[in-house]
Amino acid sequence: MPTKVPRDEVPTLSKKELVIMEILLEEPTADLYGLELVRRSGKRLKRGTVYVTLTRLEDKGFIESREEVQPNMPGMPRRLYKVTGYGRKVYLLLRQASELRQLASVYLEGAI
Amino acid sequence: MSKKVPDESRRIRGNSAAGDECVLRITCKNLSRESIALGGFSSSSEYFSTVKRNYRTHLEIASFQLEDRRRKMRFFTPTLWFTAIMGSISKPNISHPPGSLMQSLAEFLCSRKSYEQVAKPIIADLQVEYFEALTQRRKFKALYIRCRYFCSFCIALGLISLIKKFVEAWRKVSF
Repeated sequence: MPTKVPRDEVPTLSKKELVIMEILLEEPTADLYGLELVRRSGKRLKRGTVYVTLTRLEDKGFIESREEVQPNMPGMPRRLYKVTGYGRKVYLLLRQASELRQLASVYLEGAI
Repeated sequence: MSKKVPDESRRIRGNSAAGDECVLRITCKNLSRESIALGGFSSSSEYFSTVKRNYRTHLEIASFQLEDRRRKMRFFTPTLWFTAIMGSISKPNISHPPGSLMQSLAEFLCSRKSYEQVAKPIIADLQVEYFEALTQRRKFKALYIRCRYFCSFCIALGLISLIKKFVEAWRKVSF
């Protein structure tokens, strides 16, 4: 069960977390597994760190995961990840905030 | 006191690729399974694959001959002896799946949550990539994948930082 961040705290995303959220939001309906995320990231994510970052995101409540159920597949079941509604909202708000910050910096530079 | 196991003889009837009925008689020291698959054998490799499926080791087969309606064929015998010798050299090969060492390490070192959310998905990905490489018959790539995932596993669980700290502490103690 994911432990969610208290809502009174300001949610934050690190660079790697942003990359993961970006890739997951490219296909919001599809569930992706870690290796797929690494392949799609184009060397921005690594195999060694992706699962630690995913666990952190899950703890924050931005994504949710489940085990893949395929009875005919050999080997261990893979873990599939999906963005939650809360995660999507936070991502969009943070994107808007960063765009506003850029605009403000440009405006302020012009004023000075 | 060891019990003497009587030799047993079984016959397998089947049709060859040409449509002729063949009888394959196998005399065994000890039949490990009751049932022997029935079917036609068009080649020696097909025969051996059937025999391997049904017997634990090659040495269990003492002698055999393939009977045809027209003539008896004994040309398999050198191949049989070769496989028997190879079977005696190489023990029954029961191999663990890739990532079993990592799994046991993770079970021992990590908490349940870390094992479920970090270690297990890494091992699952390793197995997927490994079997993909094996199906393409790229053995060296499969080996490389195993090594790479072991490094990823060490990075993910912080084993590398643990080793570094141990080395630093060792240096301090030794100097």
